[in-house]
Amino acid sequence: MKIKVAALGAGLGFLIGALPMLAHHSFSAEYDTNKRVTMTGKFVRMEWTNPHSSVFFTVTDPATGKEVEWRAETPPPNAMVRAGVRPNMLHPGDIITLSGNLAKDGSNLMWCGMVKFPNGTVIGLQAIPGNDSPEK
Amino acid sequence: MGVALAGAVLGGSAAWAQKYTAPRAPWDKDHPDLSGIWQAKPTVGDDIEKSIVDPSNKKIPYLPEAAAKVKTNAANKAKEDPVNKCYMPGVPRLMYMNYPFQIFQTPKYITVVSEYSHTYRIIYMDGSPHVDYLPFWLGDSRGHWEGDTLVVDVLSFNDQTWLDKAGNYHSDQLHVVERYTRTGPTTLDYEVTISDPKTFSKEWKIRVPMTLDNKPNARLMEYECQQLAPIRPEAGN
Repeated sequence: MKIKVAALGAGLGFLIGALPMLAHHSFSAEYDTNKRVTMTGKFVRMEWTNPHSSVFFTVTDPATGKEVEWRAETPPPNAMVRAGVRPNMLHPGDIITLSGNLAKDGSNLMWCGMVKFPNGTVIGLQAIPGNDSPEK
Repeated sequence: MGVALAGAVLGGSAAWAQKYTAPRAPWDKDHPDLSGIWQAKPTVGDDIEKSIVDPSNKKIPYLPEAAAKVKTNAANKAKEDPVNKCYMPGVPRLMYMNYPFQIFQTPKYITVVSEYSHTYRIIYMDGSPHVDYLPFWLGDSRGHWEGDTLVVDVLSFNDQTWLDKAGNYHSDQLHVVERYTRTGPTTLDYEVTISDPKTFSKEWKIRVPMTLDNKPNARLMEYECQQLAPIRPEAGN
């Protein structure tokens, strides 16, 4: 299954049928290697935490017109910085594209293996984590 | 030629080290300078059995009871891995976690500072005996030189750490002997002999290649172990 989410002009659309917003997702949940995803949305904020950091962003549900929030997990700050990411590269409202894998539980969560920044810079991050250890 | 080649193969890292002369610190022309930021490949700590060089079947020689505990550990690793609880990772695991470490070398001791969660080791080089009256998460490290190889004897461990993410573990009878040999300008051979009569039927050995980060801006950063708590429940986390 491949889900592609693309920016449509000023409006942001996505083609995901169901959005199980309330599905519980624990940190130990794993991602689905068969569910690759590319999403474009509006950057909200970043959590620079270990063992994984998080990018929060919103996309607009074309069915309802409502903005829904997604979270993309990334490697920890050290790995992000070594890959070339800097906090000042992202500002609220920036349009960003993230590629990676969807959570197995169907929640609004993905693992982010690549980010495209507003200036066109593309930075590859760690591929899907093998397990839940903080050693990432 | 045939004999020389066989010797090189059997001698392993030691034979390679003879071909390469490691740099020296200004104050010690007799021994290699190991200073710098080193790191193993990111996946080494996933399953240490893959790095075994002895025995040849690459299996840790567990005693029967210990083998059963490994299975339990593996089944519950997300919850039970001490590193997932933010405890210190133990030795040798610290050295092949997915974090760089920096070696600082002085005549009396060699310090290993890991990027992982403010964890450091002091390897005493002055011939002083082990502390044997207190268990340590990282053991008690005493080093000496054998030619161009740093040999570190590590004793006095607690029984709370694992050897990798796969659930491989040890008891408080763990005895670790590390051998650090520079094999090239940016490479180091890390060989470890592991014994523990309460857990293993015999000693076993791993070999892990390390790489020097000699980029001009190379430096350790900070990594705090944060508990696996929800960041923002409303985000579905």
